[in-house]
Amino acid sequence: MKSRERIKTAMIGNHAVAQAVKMARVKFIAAYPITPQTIIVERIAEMVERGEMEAEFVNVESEFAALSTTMGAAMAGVRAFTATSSHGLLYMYELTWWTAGARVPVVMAVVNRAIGPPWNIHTDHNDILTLRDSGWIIAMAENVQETFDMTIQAFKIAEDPKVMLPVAIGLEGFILSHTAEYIELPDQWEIDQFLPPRDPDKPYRFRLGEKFSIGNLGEDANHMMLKIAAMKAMYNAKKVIEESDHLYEKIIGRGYGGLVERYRLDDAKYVLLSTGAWSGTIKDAVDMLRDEGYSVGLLRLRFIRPFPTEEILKTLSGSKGVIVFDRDISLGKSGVLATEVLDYVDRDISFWGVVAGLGGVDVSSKEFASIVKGFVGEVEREGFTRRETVYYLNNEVFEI
Amino acid sequence: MKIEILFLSRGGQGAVTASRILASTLVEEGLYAQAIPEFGAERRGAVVKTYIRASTQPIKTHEMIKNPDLIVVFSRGILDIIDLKIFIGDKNPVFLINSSTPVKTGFKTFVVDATGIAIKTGLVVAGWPVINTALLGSLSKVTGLYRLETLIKILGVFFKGELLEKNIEAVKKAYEQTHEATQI
Repeated sequence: MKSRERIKTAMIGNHAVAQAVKMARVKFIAAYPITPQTIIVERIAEMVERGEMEAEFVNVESEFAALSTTMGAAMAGVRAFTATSSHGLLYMYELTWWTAGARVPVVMAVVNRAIGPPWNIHTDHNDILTLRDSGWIIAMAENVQETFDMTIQAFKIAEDPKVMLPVAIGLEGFILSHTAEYIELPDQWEIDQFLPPRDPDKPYRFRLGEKFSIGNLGEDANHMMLKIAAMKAMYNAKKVIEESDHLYEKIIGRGYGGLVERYRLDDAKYVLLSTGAWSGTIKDAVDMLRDEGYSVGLLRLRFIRPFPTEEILKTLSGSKGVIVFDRDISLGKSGVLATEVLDYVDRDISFWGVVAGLGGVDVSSKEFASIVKGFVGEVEREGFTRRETVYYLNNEVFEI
Repeated sequence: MKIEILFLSRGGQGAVTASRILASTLVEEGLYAQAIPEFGAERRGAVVKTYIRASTQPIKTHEMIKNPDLIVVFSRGILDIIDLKIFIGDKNPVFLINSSTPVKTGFKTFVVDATGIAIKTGLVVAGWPVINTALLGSLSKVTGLYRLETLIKILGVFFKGELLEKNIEAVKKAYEQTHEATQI
């Protein structure tokens, strides 16, 4: 690959999304502002207004209208984008199922923010996880650079004829959305090479004057058949996500590993598992623990849907213990990731599901390291531990 | 090398903008940088914390900074309402304070009259002296992490015309006038 002088700068996550939307040559954007997402919409509107983007920007009266309008534009064959956050996502919720069910390849940035009450503007993952069963592909970025790269890749994945599902990219409120970080921006021609224009006729296209119906009342068996077809598309997406990551690496020079990123996992006896921006903080904790002789590594889920079952199975089998860090909670069960990962943790492997950081509560790398030490200590002392849900708050691990 | 900086400011003093200019300047100097604003229910006048990291290695963490190497105080009055002990851990921080007179912190301390510089330069918006860029001029001198000319180059990305000229004048003056005034 020829060497290039890339633009290197510091950029906030919201601007990185807007920049990616511009470079993906998105033709249609409809969005409604909500903290901490607003800056994405503002920046895109500015770029459209200044003529830097050849796109239509539509102001709408609500998030429900934002996704309806974006979905409509995508059904007419153009590359379309929207963005929201927390309560905004809930307000458009019905349409999220319509978009996925109708197999419309839109991309949406979800700037993660806790759902009230109590009212809160800081991050946790519960908002994007409400999409879990809807048919949306769900990705979570770790840093500003990945936020940019993921947004570009999201269009590639959504528009693949084997997939044709909408993609939601999670970037965390304030700690990514408003945090300025080092970023390298590819050239436009590189993005164009990776992401050619969308085929407007796939999966189907609405045209003015032509009669066409989608999502109508049909036979019950058809309903179930289409759900199974969407599930198949999710399975297909696994391969498409990996291929997209490889192609991106080939053209742009940066790859992440597909559905998951493996951090210092070789020979790790204990596996930590997480998603999102605090995974970077956990990596620092892994480094500290490794320096102290602990055999630990991190499996970071870049995608939650499709769920990286094979990667998780492969990593967890033969491990001595697993800790899942959930910045979310399914009230009445446990952390959402813990629930899903537990399916693949053999009964003789130690396990903790740790719920922490809800509502933006900061957890430091030292705190992560101390939680892991507590877990490892219990395993070494007792020989085995299995706690589906423990909580971490105010320097304390506890059960209720 | 990894340096962690805390800005203590009041809402409206431009600390978040300053932190972004600083991050861009550090990257321009070939470093990795990160600027995390701590937003909450703050409004104009409330104390706001902003965290900046500079490193020769990629920065992975997104945690808040609890024990900074350097604390920049945008208004001397903030020291009357913040207990500095909460920021002191296993490192002794260096202070840079916007003040026309020496301030006793118990640690190595630099002062600069950024407010005076802003007023003399005509950097006043809605009655508020705009001190954020001046403090970045001072910080260049205190840390040696970046050159004044690099900062001035990046200011050109954020500001244009007369406003840019005034900001350049302010950072130059602040750089010259920053001096150590440690009182243990």
